[in-house]
Amino acid sequence: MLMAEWHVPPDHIAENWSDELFLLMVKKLIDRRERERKAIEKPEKEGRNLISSEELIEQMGSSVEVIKGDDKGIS
Amino acid sequence: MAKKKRSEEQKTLISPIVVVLGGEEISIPVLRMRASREWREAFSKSVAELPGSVKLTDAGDTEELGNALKTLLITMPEKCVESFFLYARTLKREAFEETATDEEVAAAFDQIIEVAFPLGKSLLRAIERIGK
Repeated sequence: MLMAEWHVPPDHIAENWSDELFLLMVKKLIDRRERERKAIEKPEKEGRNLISSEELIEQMGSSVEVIKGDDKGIS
Repeated sequence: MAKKKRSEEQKTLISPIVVVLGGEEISIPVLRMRASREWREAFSKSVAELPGSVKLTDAGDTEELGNALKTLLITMPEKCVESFFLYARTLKREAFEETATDEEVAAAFDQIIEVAFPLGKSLLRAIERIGK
């Protein structure tokens, strides 16, 4: 998974990275994943503000005019 | 002297470890993962030969770990010096044995340990594994 994330072959890491750098990269990856997870969860938590199209039409009430096909001359 | 933690920049750039030996600042290149693992294995073997009186596994935090390492330096100084120069392979041991003080070598060894075992408790875990 890590290799796919960094696009670096394992041998390259073993030969060129230090333990400190590897751990730092892992920490940064975890931090990023955490931020992404929170960013995804946030709209879901705020999802109560989202309404279905039926609810929207209901709420809009008289301000929405539904034009039927017949009225537009479509048969 | 308070130990200075390596910055993210130093870790990212794999900056050398700067130690003081014989009164002068010496740069020691940080070993890459494969070489570092080999060093750790060699070091672990040395520690495995320690007398039971040195209980590094009892160390609970960094300060205790530091104290445990001091004990290690007191009881097995030769092993520590040997391990140090195994890590600092660019340094000529003979050149520093005459000039460096025990305190300097202890501080330098401490710095090496911190870099070679970047997860503070890795050393403890390594020692625990050896102990089993």
